[in-house]
Amino acid sequence: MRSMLREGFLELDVNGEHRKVVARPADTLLHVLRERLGLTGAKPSCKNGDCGACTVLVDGWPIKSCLMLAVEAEGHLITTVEGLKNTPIQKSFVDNFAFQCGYCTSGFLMNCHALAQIHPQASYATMREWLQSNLCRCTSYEEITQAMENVLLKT
Amino acid sequence: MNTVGIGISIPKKESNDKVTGRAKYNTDHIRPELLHAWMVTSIYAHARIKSIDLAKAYKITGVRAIVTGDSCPILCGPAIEDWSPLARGKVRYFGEPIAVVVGDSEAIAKEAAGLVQVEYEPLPVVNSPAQAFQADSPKVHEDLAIYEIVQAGTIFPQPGTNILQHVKVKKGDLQKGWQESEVVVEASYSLPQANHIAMEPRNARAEIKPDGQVIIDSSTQGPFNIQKFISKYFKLDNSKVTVRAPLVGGGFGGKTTVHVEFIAYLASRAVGGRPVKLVESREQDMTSSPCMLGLQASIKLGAAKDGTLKAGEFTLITDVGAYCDSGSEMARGMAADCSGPYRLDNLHCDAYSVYTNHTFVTAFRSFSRLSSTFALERTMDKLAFALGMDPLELRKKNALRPGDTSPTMVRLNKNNFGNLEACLEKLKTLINWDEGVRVELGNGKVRAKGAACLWKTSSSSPNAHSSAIIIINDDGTLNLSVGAVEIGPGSKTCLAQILAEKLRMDVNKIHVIMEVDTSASPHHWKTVASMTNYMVGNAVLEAARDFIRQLKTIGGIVLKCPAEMLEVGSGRVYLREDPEIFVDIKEIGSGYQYPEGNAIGGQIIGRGNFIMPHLLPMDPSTGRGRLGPAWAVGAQAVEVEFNQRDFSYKIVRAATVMDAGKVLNPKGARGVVMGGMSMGLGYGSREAAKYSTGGQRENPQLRTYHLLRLGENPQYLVEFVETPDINGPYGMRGIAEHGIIGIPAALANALSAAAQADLDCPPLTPQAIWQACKGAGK
Amino acid sequence: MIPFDFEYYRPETATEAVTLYTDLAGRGKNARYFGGGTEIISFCRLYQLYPHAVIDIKGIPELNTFEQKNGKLFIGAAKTLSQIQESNLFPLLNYCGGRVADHTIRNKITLGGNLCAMIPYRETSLALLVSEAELVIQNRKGKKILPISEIFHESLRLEDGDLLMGVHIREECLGAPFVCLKKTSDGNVGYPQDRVGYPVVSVAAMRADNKIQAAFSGVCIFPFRSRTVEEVFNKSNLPREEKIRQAVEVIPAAIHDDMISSAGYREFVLKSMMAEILERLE
Repeated sequence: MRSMLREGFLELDVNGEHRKVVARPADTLLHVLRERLGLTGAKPSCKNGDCGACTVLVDGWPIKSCLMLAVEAEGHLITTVEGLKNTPIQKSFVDNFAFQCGYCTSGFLMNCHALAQIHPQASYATMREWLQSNLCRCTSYEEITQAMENVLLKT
Repeated sequence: MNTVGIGISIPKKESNDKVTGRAKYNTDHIRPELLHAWMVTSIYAHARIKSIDLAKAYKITGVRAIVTGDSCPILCGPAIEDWSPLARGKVRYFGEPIAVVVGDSEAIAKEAAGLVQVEYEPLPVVNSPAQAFQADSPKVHEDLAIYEIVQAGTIFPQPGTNILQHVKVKKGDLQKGWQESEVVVEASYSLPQANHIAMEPRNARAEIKPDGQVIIDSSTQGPFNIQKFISKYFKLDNSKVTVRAPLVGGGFGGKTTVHVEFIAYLASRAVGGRPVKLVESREQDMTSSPCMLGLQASIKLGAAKDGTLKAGEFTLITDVGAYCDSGSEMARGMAADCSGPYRLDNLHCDAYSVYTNHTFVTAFRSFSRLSSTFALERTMDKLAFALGMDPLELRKKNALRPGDTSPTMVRLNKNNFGNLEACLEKLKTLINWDEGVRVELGNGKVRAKGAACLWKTSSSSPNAHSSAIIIINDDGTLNLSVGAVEIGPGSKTCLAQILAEKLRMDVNKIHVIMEVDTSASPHHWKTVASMTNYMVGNAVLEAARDFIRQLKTIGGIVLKCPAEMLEVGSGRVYLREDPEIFVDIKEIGSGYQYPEGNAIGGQIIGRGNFIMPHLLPMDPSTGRGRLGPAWAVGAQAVEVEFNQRDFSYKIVRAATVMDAGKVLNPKGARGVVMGGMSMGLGYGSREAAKYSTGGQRENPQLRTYHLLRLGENPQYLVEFVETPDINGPYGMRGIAEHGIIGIPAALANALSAAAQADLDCPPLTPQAIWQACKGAGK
Repeated sequence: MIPFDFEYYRPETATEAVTLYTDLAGRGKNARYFGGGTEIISFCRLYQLYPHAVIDIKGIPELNTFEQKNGKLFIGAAKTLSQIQESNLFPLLNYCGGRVADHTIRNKITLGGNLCAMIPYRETSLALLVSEAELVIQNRKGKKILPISEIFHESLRLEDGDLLMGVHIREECLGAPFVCLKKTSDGNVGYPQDRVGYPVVSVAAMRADNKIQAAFSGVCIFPFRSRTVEEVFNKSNLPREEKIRQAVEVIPAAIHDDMISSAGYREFVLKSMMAEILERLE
């Protein structure tokens, strides 16, 4: 049985790298990614699972890292926005002006990227269901929708 | 793609950083030496603080200091000094900071904060602007009479009451106006407070160096403003305070004021100046830091039978919460623009700011013009109904034109006002207005349209100013440095485009410095009021002229001709009559070396500044005066599909036509307009700060305070009219916030038409419409 | 940021988990079974919950299975709402669970977590109540299987240390005709989900054995299935409007009034949803 009784070492697989970090059992994945690994792409905003700014991928699925303990992530593959390299969705966000302040962007990108990987031919309804998990206060969502649709395969 | 100048959709300069997670916001600075602060906040809306017991909190290992209001006996505020960074004696709103705990980690500080024992004696609560107005209402501030007024002549508090501001605007002969009115409508409106919800919560770091230099790093729209107020209230020379602002994760006005910065400074001071980081939780950002004002309005309009407006009476009571901040200024702004962009020669407006035991307020996108516009534009629709006139036609008939005057007697011309009629004309086609305001679809469903106009000028300090510096690099590229913060709309990119246009060079060869540092960056008033491209853009043009002058001077020496014969473009200084005779600017930008080896000149630095002329404070008895340089005007419409059976609706289309003067970056401009519209639809349909009967905030989370989500957005239709403002860079007007202004009203007009009920109190949830229809017996 | 410490355990068997729970209790430690943990983490952050230990049950293989045998579908308690949705084994549960929170959070929220939630809506319970699911529960004494009606009264009445392993649903319920409706303060929620928020009213109704079975969330401060409401629904020869009038009168508690919705509006919504249920399942 894995147990973690106090602050100690954790081993995480992040963006293809094996990383050893010190954390408390009660530390969230968001906190450890940012404060211990310096991966500040995932953003703290509501820390309540409501806004999606901290979304990362765990085994390819989007997860709000404010609602996951770091210790829970052991043994899983974590991808943060820093792990995205020249993906179509990143370019599409730039081309479509799909961000203004950029603070929600990392979270949106991770969710969009996962959707493109898991359901590359997602319908509009599926896309809406997935992307409703993230809030943006600057844009009208039209630009983000366009950016996503340009990456999904036309059926 | 063309990359020279304005009128083209250049992606934001910081785009690649923002899509790779490399963009650094203020919270992203992770340093081991940082201490962390956590605020203890009030659980009552109004209560005397009987005692604060810190003993238990201090027992937590790693707590370095706890600061309470008693250690900081100052009162501050931009208009009137009524606010203490940490509450003293009593708390006046739920969420008000009482103490700040500094610890080795955020967890430690937060755990200890939970152990600070505050003993309260609850006091009666002022829970609405109407209640605040009653003579026997509890008083939020007993000391209103002795508070220092910062800007005399702009704020008129009434000691012994909760009235903090009373602005009067009087124009024409109201008596005569009513006599000429054949149709009169009158209505009252109530609009709740709401939240900015920048995705990056408000936060700051503070540090005091051994030599006394104060460093504040903040997620702010106004670094120079922070510098001004920290130095003022802690009695430091202005230059002893350095404020730095990196990329900001959204502002919407909420980051214009100085709030957490004071508390972070107090926290750092308590630990010997060590750097302290204070990040608000979302709940604190929504309750402790300032929000958007609430409004109670009564409007009476009179018109002749042909629809010509004859008289208007406006009572606007703004709920500014527990402290003034910019609340008194927003009342002035609303009063100055009270008529909307309509010709109304006889009017009276009384605009008040009243204290309540709600969260205090600060600037909100449009400086809260969306609220007063809601009341006015709903009344315009009621008037149209009473006249039996098409609502858009009524607006067109009364649209202000050059030669008319504003409520505060500013004479309008095509530069300072633009062309509203053209906007209305274009809107009519865009939204297909002529197919009918209300169309029954069968199946219990109705399609309906509503419209509203918008106008707004800025409320700038008469001495607000901006500067810009251009420096050339050895490779011939330029660095542009300005004091405006990048909060999202892409201002820095637009400014680079303005410079590229002036120098006729590739915008990719112009680097913009994203971070603002008050010790190194040129000044800019505040990144607010849609004035950045206007003010800083003018400073950039001035700097460009200076830069060109210097290039030509040295170019003339190199090319052996008078400077007057030269032009600058494409990174070259060339002979006007023969562009093939040229010198690269990189050859002369950092001094020119003759073939023989000796050199002349040096690095070329262009500098420019801008100050707005002709701004005049409003006269206390008539309101005569001029708050801002120019209005941006526009017309908006919303179309809904309404279900008469369950009172739910879908927002189908939303349209805006705005007179932008000149569109600098089409995709960017469309984006900020749609963003404003989206926020307006959110406020109109669902956003409201909800307070319990005891004044406690009930929905301080995004789980219960809903924003629009993807897929709930309608189809957006955005078009521009371009009537140049001769004073704006290349004719542009500030439009960044205006997209929000008429949208809540247009939504309410559409829904009122659909439901055939007066929907006068947003947010217009299905429940609110059900309630209104039930009240109307439907 | 959770402002205090707790211990974390990830047992590999159910026996290990329940033994650990008892051991911790014996040492005066208040432990919580931790599935998706979304509610525990957010409540801890807000100083509303102070467990000494959390027992992460996601590592227990049995809790992570779907199994169809002996005429029943078993869904492990640690299956996430998204996994349940993607499996598409029980459409009514897709609807009830697939409109909880939002899609990304449903990658974390588990069936067990939603059934045992402190936030009162527990919308997955609606599908299980109307399909008369059985709950598999393990404690130190062993395993027991109970019909949901015996143990779900307003909330799941587990005894201290009981671990919910999963649920059995009879196969004939999986494809039964159903109506599942949800409305938030902003309007109707479609399926796939097109709106996020707590329910004003959320209902699940199924037609089984020629009778309508219905369960409700949001109406009162707890979710419920009411036999008396169903009796009214299933009366023959009663006009629909009268059925609705009578049904609203016999719901088990006062209609809830809060910032999400007034009691009056909830009643209006409830009535229109009842009308739709009757129209589609009668």
